[in-house]
Amino acid sequence: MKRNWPLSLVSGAVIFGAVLLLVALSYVWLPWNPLAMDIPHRLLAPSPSHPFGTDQFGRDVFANVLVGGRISLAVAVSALAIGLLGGVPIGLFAASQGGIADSLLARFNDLVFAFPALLIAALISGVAGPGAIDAIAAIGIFNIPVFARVTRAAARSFWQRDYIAAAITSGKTRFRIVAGHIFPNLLPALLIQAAIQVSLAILAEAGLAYVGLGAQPPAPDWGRMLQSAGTLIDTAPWLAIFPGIAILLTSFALSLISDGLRDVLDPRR
Amino acid sequence: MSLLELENISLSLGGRDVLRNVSLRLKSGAALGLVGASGSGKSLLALSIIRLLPAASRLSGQIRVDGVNLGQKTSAALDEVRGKQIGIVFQEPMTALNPVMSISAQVAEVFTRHLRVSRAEARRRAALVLDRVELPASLVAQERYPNELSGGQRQRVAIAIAIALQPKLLIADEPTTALDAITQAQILRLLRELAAETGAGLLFISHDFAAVEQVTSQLAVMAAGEIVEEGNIDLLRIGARQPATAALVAAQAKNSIIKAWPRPARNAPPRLVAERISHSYAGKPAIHDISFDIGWHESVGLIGASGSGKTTILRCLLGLIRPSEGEILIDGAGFFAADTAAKRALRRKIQIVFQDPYSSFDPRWRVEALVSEPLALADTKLTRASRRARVEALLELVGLRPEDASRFIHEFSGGQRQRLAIARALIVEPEIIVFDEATSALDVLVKDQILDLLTNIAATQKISYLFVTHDLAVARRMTHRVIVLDQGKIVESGPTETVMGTPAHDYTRRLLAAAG
Repeated sequence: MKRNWPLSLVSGAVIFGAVLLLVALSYVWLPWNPLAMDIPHRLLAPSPSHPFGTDQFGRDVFANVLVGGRISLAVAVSALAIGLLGGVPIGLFAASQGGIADSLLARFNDLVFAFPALLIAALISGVAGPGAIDAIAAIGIFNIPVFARVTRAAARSFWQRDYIAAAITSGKTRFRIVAGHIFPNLLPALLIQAAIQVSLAILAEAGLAYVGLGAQPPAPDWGRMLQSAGTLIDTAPWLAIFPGIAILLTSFALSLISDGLRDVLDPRR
Repeated sequence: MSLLELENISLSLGGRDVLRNVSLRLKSGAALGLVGASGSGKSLLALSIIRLLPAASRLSGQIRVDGVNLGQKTSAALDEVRGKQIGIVFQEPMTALNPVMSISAQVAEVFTRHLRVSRAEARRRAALVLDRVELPASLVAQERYPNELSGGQRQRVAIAIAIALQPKLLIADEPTTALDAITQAQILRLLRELAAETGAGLLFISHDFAAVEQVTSQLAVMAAGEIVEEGNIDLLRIGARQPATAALVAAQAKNSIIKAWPRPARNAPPRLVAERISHSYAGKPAIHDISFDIGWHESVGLIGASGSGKTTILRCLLGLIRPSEGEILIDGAGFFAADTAAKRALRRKIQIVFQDPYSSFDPRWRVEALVSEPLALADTKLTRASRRARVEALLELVGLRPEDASRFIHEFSGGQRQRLAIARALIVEPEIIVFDEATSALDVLVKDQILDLLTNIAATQKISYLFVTHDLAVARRMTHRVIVLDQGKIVESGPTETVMGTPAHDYTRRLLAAAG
């Protein structure tokens, strides 16, 4: 059957594709060495030779934005994957079992929620040493209860529907009901949450980097660039603007994609 | 001067005309019944009067309440009119109240909002109104929340809110459709009395001639967004000139005719036996010592008001819950003694059609997959093509088209969905089909068609039916035998004509009296 892809999905995919392409470009070509300091040319406003300007050490912002995307996107996407793979099965299981299993998992969720990502990151970096991995693990673990909650709440409401009772009376097993009826109906809620979590992860990674956890300087990433630009916002606003735009474009593109996917999945469309 | 004057009301929703040149008058102290099949525009007319319409709507014409043109009011001024001058009671008591506010607070809010009285005074007046709608004193005195109330009690609270400020016009939009017969009669009497007492005009919207008759004798009949006929209910019954009116009357009349297939021979062993089942939820007994059977090609009615334990029995029959005591045997086998394979074989023998056509189907599946789901599970060796063929044959049997198999569920109306639910139940060739209030969400015309369909199916296929219902008309028309439940116990059972004709138990008599 021929399908018209919704505009939001197409435009989101184009923007996100462009972001990925630019980040990928950083592996083969860079306008400047992102780490090379050039004190005489510090805090230059955007110009043809430095399209995004330079920072307080004279490093090229454009090159840093390109390279910074590597860590920011890797952290956000890996943390999302951990959250989805961990949280969704927990939520599905809790909703389908109910009773004690459900209550125990809910308490477990509260427990994880009660540990800020910061603390988890500190714990992990204590064991494994600081690096992007702690950020991924910390944010990923923090994502698990988020997805478990969304999944459980939505799945429980689907379990109440008559079509589930009809499937049970036809002899369908719990597992097949979850796979055939519950999970597909959950996708819209998960997509929305996923888009939110990716944007949050990019910012959370910046927060971790700020206190010395997560990816270590001088390796640049968008969140930390934004963070360190704060003190110079009056003299060199471009330091904040360009990594900010990168984060904004990425999360905007992802929410467009999730919106579009929801439309594609909706039979009423 | 008339209390309510509608002149040439036309309404379009998203470019579709749903009301066309509707004109209507209602005097103070009078009551008018607005009847019509679903989709005839009667509820939209009510919403037009209080201007609670979706954003994408275009309304034209004059609406005057007590001589004041509502069309010229700002939305803030309309807030004053709603509640103070016009009270409205909606169909669904379950969603009409705020679940986290106590009922007396919800009624008191009307007074604080419109009259600027103190909270204590508002509470005092709320208690008076709640008392007036005949809520038990125990519910009025304490802080009660909607979940502690039955459907009928909630509807009384909704009525209390509507009449709190003694509005000049009271609009009731199918206020009793979701209620059982006894509760319905009580609520209708209350509405009639309250309107008479306060001198309010009452606009009563319904698809049910019998319900309207309990409130008023003046009718306006709507069809396809227009008022097609007006007049006295008895005259319309005898000499309806419009096909829409005639169809409503005919559907009503048929409900009182026993029209079932021949009574089955009782010598064959019963297909389903419930033996002394009891069940309680968290220590509260829901059903107690229930025994009955369903014979081969027999149709049995399980009758009772809401809360009588019908749903619990039904869930036990389907093996969805295990009764605390007793057992249920289908062809001699029970769900909870059986191994997985035997259980699957058993599942195939009993199928269900649910009440709510909107939550009965997964919105993401196509009809072909939805209808064939039980078959795909019961017979894994069938090819997809042969399943499709079965689905198409069944769609034709239930009065739909074979090509509907490729459509999604949202493209179907409530009545069509119940046809699909019947097809889904039939596809595994079950021995028993249970109907859980399967027609109570449908309007009289559609209900009539569905019952006709079931009668035809029963005539050609040797299936046993169990109708779980609070609708005596359905039981009368569709069953050989009825079992009457009250508070979790069987109070009476026997052949339908005997029980309906000479009820032995007081509860059955009240049920029958209420149904008129």
